[in-house]
Amino acid sequence: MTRLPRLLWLNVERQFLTWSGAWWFVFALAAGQLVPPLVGLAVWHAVLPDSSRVTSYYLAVLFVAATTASYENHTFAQRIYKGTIADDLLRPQPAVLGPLGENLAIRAWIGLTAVPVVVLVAATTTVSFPPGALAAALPAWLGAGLLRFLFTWCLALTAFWTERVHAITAFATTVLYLLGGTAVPVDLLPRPWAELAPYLPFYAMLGLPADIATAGAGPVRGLLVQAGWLLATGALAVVLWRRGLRRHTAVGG
Amino acid sequence: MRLLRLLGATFSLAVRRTLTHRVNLLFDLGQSVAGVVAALAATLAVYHRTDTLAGWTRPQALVLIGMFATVSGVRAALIDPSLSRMVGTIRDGTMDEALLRPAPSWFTVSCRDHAPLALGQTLLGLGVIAAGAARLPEPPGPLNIAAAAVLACCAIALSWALSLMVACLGFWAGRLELAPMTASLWDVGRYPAGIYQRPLRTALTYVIPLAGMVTLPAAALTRPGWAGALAAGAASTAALVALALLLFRRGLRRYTGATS
Repeated sequence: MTRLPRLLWLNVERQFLTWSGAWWFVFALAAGQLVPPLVGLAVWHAVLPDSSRVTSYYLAVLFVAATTASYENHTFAQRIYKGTIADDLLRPQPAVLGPLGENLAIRAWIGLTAVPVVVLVAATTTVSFPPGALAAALPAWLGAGLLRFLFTWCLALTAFWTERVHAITAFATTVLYLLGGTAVPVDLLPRPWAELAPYLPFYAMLGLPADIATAGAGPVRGLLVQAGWLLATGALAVVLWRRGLRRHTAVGG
Repeated sequence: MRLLRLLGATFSLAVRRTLTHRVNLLFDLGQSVAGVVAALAATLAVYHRTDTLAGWTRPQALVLIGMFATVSGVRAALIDPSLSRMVGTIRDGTMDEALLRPAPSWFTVSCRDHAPLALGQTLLGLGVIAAGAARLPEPPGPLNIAAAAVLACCAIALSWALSLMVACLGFWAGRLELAPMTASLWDVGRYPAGIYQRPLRTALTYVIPLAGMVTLPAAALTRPGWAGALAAGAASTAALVALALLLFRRGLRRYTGATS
């Protein structure tokens, strides 16, 4: 195993054990990720009671939301505010490894918490996934996980400039809820939003893998858009990190 | 009356604290507006595909969204800032500060901090209620408005009681911080309770009355037959508030301060 993946694995392992002591908080985080898709499922099931695609779609969104959750606005931004990011900067490893490890560990816990909910929804509703569609959705799911991390990481980095990271992230979460496919499946949005939303990063973070899994969208166009947003947010993260670091000052040791 | 004056004093302090940081004020106001706009947009998107949702027409749903924003704003401004941190104060012993004040402890614990700008959501919510009510085929009469106001107050009291009960669990299990979960579950009240399937609807109306809290006052404003809802709302509020105060008193006996 090369050095960086090994360091990342160690970070994930350490954070997974650390978070095992905060099971109540994991439940709270899981509820935050699971309740909006569950409410969306209830609403759209009431609107389209005979559509098994809506049920399958929301089951997939439940899974994607739970396994791509990102909280760098809480974890990493707090380190910037408190100045403890200085510890990360002194370690002989890229500073992003710590937050990335914590992100993956939290996702693992939330994913485990979500399993009973996903199973319960699958057992009590009519769901169907076309053969091969779940495998086709795998790259989009991985891309969604990375994109959501990079997006939240960029928002967290605004902590170098403002004290209101939570307000900024709350606003982004609201847009993600509206245009990402949680409040409304993107193809059911009114025009012109239904045509615009597939080209925005929010859909690539949540709805795209779910749509591919239910064969509601062809994977190629969506994956290309997702790759474009991955490059854009990756480049933005590098720029924000470099500029933010120049502003950073910490006292203590 | 004295408690209201104390509430006014702590709220006034919170307003002055908020106004000190002007840029932050803009961010917080923007967050309140975004919350209401998102709720409206999501509901209107649903009504783009249907004429009624669980028996609620578009104007009725507007009243419901407005009521949700109104109650959520009061909750975010007056209830959440203090009670979401209560378990932490139990754990580190700093609850002493609230208990030593010359006022009932349930009050001082509930009014340590406020977020005045969240009331912007309430104002917007009232505007949405007015817009929805104006589109109703039969505008609500004074009795409907009075019943809705009483039920909205019941919803706020219920929300306070639920938050206090959740926070009180911290007296028995100091690490059990469930306030963020309550905040997430609050979202189930955004839509009519009728969208949920029967067992879940019953649980969300009678066991954890999150769905009924907002649906009942909105229904009083938009539908006939609110007298039963008014009686049920007032009775369940009185029961839950009494239960919350009982739990708080029992829990307080277990509390031992760590400060001096």
